[in-house]
Amino acid sequence: MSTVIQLQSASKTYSVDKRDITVLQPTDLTVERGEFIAVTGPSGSGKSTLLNLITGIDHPTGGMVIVDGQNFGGLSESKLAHLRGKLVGIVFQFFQLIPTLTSLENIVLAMDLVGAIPGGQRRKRAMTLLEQVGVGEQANKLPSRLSGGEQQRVAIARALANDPSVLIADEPTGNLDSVNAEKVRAIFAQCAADGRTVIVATHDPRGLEQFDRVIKISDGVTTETPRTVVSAPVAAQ
Amino acid sequence: MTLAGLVIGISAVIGVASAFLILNDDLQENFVRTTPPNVSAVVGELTSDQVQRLAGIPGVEAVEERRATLVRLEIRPDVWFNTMLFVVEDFDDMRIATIDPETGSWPAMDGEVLIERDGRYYINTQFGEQMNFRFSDGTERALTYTGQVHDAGQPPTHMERLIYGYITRATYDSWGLDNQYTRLLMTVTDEAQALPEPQSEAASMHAAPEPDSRAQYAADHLIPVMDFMGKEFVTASVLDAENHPHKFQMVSIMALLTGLMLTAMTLCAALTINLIDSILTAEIRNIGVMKAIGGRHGQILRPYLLGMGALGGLAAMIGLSFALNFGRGLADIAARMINFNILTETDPIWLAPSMVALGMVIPVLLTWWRVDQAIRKPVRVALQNDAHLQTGSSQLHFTRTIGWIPLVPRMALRNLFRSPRRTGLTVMMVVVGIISFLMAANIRSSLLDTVDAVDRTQLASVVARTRTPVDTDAMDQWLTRYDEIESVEYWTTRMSEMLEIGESVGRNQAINFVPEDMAMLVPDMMEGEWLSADRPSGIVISTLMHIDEGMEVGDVMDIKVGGERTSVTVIGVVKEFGGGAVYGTEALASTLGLDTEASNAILIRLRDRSMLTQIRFGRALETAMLADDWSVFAVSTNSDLEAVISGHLDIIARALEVVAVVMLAVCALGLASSTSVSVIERTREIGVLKAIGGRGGAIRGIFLWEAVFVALIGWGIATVLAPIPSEIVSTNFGIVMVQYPFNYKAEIWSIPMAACIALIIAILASILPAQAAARHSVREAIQSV
Repeated sequence: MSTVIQLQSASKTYSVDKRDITVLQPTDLTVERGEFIAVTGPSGSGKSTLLNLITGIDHPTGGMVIVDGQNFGGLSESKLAHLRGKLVGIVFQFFQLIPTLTSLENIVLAMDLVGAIPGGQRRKRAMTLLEQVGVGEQANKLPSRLSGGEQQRVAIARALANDPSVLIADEPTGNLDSVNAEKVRAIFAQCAADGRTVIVATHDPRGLEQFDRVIKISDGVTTETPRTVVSAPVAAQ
Repeated sequence: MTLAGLVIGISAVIGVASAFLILNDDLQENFVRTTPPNVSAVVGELTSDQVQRLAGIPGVEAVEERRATLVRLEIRPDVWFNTMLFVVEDFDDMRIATIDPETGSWPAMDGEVLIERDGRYYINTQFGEQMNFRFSDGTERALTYTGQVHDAGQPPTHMERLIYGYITRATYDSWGLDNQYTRLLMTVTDEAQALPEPQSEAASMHAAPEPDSRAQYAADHLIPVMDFMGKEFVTASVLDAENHPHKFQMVSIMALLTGLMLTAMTLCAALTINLIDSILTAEIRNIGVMKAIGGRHGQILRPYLLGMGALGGLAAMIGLSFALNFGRGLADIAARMINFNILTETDPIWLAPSMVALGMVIPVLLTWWRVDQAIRKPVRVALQNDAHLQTGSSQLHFTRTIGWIPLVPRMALRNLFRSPRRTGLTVMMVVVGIISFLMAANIRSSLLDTVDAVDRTQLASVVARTRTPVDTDAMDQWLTRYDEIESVEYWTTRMSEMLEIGESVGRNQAINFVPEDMAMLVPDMMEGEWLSADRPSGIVISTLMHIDEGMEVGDVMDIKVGGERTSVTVIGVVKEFGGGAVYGTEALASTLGLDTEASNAILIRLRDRSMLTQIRFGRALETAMLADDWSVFAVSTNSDLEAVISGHLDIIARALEVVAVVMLAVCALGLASSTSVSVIERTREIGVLKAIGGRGGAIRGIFLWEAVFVALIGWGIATVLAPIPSEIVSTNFGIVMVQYPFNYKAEIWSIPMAACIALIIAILASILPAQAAARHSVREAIQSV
């Protein structure tokens, strides 16, 4: 296995009313390719901050974040956006699909923005991804016409659009009922089984046994639970 | 941007209102200060005692002799300009139609001439230098140019192509001109009807029944007075002594500007609505929270009203100085164009408070409307507040038809449907801005076409008028020296008196008796038909006489030419720019005892009809005719006429161009404001786009495309709609301004040019908001409401 994500004393401090608040203490973390990791902790513990640093959405105030060999710290916003689109797929809690685009178009847009997938293959690939996550028949519908579970699966398909090596999901099941949450978890497990590095932030204790590693975070301090043995991956619908 | 929009909108309205007030008052004041006459009469030569006796008639407030002689002034070597020389009896005791000294000497001494200031653009003579004048008998006389005066009662030289000069009676007498007539200017008052003594001039004036007006009364009954004095009466006309000749034109222009500026303010109101909506995008959840914790309607509304009222007040205060300067500037331009002085030194005291009030009322009312609607939303809906993020499937159906468009512009197009009202308002702003531009272009094109119409309908490049009839065969022979001549035609022109008003008082009007095979005029008929041999007593009148004098096809009247009188019928109205013109057949001329073989108008068509050739040929012809003793009085070219037309019409085109610039500025602000609101509303979406790999260029592209689509939709609508107001304004403004309906002609190049302007505006208007969008921090954007 090769290292795909490396945090070296990465920390984040916000300055509020001339007061420094450290939301993530200096953290060292190494993630190997294909690992399936859960980040858990209560609200406000620093889960999202950790993920934001890994995705380059936020910049560390101390230390370094390296993804796929690229130090995100020294890149321009534009370059960072491009790399993020290419290397990291992001799934948000509230889906964040573009409401004016259909499911299919949302995925094609992600490919259009990055340009990593040849133009002629994009629609076909988008359709394949939608079918993989079980919402192929919803391809031409607007997000407003989809259920929460379906929207989240489209969002996962969008995150996979540019075939990223890392998939990051911040509370992806937080807004779903249990049935849909289970389906989404299964898709992530399948992605990990396919060799993709998947990091999921969750405060839901259910299903933690599926993950290779569980990183607990509390008051900005990370602690890691021992590696668990993953049972056979749940097939995606 | 909203502040800028409010500043422009309110300033434009107040500025135009201020200019309107200044111009209306000052034009009137300029005119009234000249003590304009309400009657002008041409009568037999009077002694100063007889003039005094006329002035002594009760009801006649003032009488003054003011002979007027049309001459030619040599403005450059061999370049002659029509000039009206007024003979002032006593410069220090002018009581009617007064003039004001400006620079140089005052008054004119014998052998000197004063020139009206609007003529300064045409003359190259300095004070103290000689000016050469040529008279109708061909003689030339020199006068010393000693001063410049302002005559607010005369139409401007640049419009009429007529310079005005003022000389003493002694100068005039020294020339020994053979003129047995004089011109009287009179001011007749209410008391003209109440004259007690019989067997006097006064009684003669009293003897008339039921006058239409006192001035008309005086004009009608000046004849018995002249009879009583044993003097010949030639003609009299009633003048409007209360309104400047160009007042109506000016008021019409200002009314048009006011209307358009009100439109600009409406657009600013739309801008304000956009601002309020953008505030509400962020605030609606807070409103929901305030309602949830017990906030009452008034409590929630008040801070918004105060905030927007303050913004409007601030806009008014910022714009106040601009508005007043804009008003002054506008008034100054109009004053220069109509040649009068701005007398108002301070703006009305109520203008500033009105502007502040206007500035506050508009935003407050709009805020009330929009916030009130927001407050009335159920708490649950307000707290959810994601309506602006949604899109309907109906919009998807629409945009499926444009599935071939690349995804980013397609997305931008769909985004327009997310807030149909805002998109509609923005499109409306663009439509108004582009319509203003297209109107300005179309009307300018119509004006130019009106000028071109001279070329199309009046085929003579040069017209030479002679004092005495010329032998046409001899003239034909003489003209063979000019190879550049394509064809020549001879007309007979005579002054006539058209007795349509009464038995005695009529309109002095030149009649052109044209040959049957006339080729130099291509009549553009408005009504009726052109002259024909079948109707020898028919006359055709020009547009001005139809519109201004109210003459209609079918009118029958008597005309008198050189003592001969005959009855004629108006059989047609020909569209023709400028002063009134009447055309009759050679048969009619024969009825009036005129020799049609003796023509006094030589119409020449040149092979090369360029302006330069016309001018050069005209000068050469005039010089050569004088040298060979042809009794030429004036040579005019088509270019001169075109210059007169342009001089009259330029003011309208300029006014519309000013309006177009203001409208386009407001349109750009509207588009910028709308794009900014979109950026605010879709902050989170921008964050998502950046999170999934969207670079700054892609984000900017989305907003740029949105602005481009709005601009193009607006351009498309404006292109379809613009011809309607353009044609209405062209036609009606022509009638109002110069009694001539302009030929409406759409300016084709203006359509692609408007598209370019729309695109430039779209790019300029969206560039800053789009940059702001591209600079959003992804984390903050994603976390935004």
